[in-house]
Amino acid sequence: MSSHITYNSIQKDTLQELLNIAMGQAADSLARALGEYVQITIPSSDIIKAENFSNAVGHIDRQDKMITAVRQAFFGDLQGDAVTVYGAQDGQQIADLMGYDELEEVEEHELLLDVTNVLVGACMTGFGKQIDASIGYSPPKIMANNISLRTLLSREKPSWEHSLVIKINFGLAERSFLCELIFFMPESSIEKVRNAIELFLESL
Amino acid sequence: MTVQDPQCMRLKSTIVDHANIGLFAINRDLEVVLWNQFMEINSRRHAKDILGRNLFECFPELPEKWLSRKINNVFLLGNSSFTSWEQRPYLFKFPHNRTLQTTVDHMFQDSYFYPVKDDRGEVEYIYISLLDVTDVGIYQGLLKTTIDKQKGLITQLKDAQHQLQQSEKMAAVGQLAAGVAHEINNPVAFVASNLRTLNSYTSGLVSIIEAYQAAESRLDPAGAEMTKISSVKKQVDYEFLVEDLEQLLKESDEGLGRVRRIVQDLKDFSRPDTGDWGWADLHEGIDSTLNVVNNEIKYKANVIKDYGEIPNIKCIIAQLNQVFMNLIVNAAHAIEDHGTITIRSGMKNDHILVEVSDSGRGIRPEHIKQVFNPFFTTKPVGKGTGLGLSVSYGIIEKHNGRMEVESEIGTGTTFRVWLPIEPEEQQEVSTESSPTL
Repeated sequence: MSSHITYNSIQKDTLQELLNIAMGQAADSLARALGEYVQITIPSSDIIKAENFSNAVGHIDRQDKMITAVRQAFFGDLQGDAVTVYGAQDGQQIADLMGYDELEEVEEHELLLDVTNVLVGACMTGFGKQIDASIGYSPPKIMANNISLRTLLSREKPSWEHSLVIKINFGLAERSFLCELIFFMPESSIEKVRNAIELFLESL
Repeated sequence: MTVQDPQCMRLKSTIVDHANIGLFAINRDLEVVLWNQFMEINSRRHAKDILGRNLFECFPELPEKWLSRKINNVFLLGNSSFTSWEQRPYLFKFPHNRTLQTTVDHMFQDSYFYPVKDDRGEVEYIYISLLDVTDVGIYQGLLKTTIDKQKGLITQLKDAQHQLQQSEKMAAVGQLAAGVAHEINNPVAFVASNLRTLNSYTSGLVSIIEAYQAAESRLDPAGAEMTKISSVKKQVDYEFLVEDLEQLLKESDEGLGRVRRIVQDLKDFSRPDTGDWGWADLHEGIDSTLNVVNNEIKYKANVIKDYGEIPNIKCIIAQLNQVFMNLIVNAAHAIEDHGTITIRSGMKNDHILVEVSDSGRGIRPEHIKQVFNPFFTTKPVGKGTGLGLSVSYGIIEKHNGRMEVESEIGTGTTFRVWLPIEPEEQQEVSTESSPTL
């Protein structure tokens, strides 16, 4: 792997710190928006090669469970794809929080799109703030419905060679709601993130 | 011209007002603060009647609970939000302007909610844009219809391919059967011929022995010859031997007869359109068929014969027997433990009616249209070729008759065969006919 697509250990630690702050803030504003206590895991980040794509994502749980996945592209100073993975019952768990009474499939999809938009927006905007990047969002789209994560990953062919992958899980303490959020940022963004980290370190 | 330039501001305002998308904005009190021309025209509500008023007051038909939550999240989180026509066809029910399109009754919309922030970064307004995506919706609908149609066609193609493969296989089996039948016929013929000769030789030998036996009285009962004869007779169990010899020869002859019939069946199977037209009694045919299939059904069902008065009809009785055999064996297969098979006959409107009913599990409604299709079977692999009913259908068609089926899940199935007394014109029967109900 050439140097421009790797981070040294200081850069890695700094990135981790920036992510912790950003995701903490995201969880905070989500808690305010939803009126519920939001649980998040410590974000993990890694640079992966396209051929390791399914393995790199594969160790999250629910490999063989039926899931619905939503994809949202973001662009601007950082660009890439965010993928959120929901379990079969996740939509039902939070229907009332998003203002739904009954949840047929169409409403459930809309709900998951909306939740994705909220999560991705909160996380990326938070991260963007930390590294002074402004980011725009495309409308989220249903990527796959009611298939296993394994099947979903096996049919995705990444268009990049290397990608910065950031993973984080969101849950609601009061409800059995847990979704996985995965950000993929290709080569150009890897470079931008590194520059931002360097700037941040200089400013300390 | 700079951004703050009044001229530039005027230009921006004009663009917002006349943009060919819906643009409006609301403040934190959900009061409308901007309402462009697109919104005016499509909602048929003038800006002056809307501005400063609560959005949900002006448009009570909006889904308030959901939308206010969505708007609230944008205010709180400061991030944009979306709706898509795929999940929510429209936010505002505007008429569509595709006058020639009758498939839609409203404008499809994608919407975008954007937080407008003040100097401190607090969200002051939300502006919402509505994009008319009716064409996308219409074409997507067309595309979906086309794809569904194609899926149907692909299934049909796969079925057809499967049928082709099957008939290929069956043709090969048929050829093989014809070849085997021919090979078996030769040895069977000379065994049969030898058996006939053996039969006559045996009766010759037995008559000679009987002639000798008549002379036994002239021998001394205590003499050496008579003692020897008695001991040999006893040793071979002469009385039984003579009796059994006849029986053995008879059974062997019957066995050969069965081999011949099987060979003939194989030949018929590979060339089913042979057979002679003649006047025949259907009841006789059914009875002989019942004898043949007795083994298959005796543990499964009681057979009730409810025969009416029917005349002899002109038919190829061997083929009709094949049809009856099929119906009776199928009836037995449909019965899970033990049940009844009822065979009725009668006349109606110059036609002979033969009905085979069973008290079996019934045919699922989605299968009933397919039962006469070649290679359609619900039996496990190797248990049924799916040819029986389709061949039967072909045979009945050849007799200018028709076949019907009626079934109820859990109650049973009735197959009805209608036959004319004398077919108008005798046609060649094809086993590959693929009828539909």
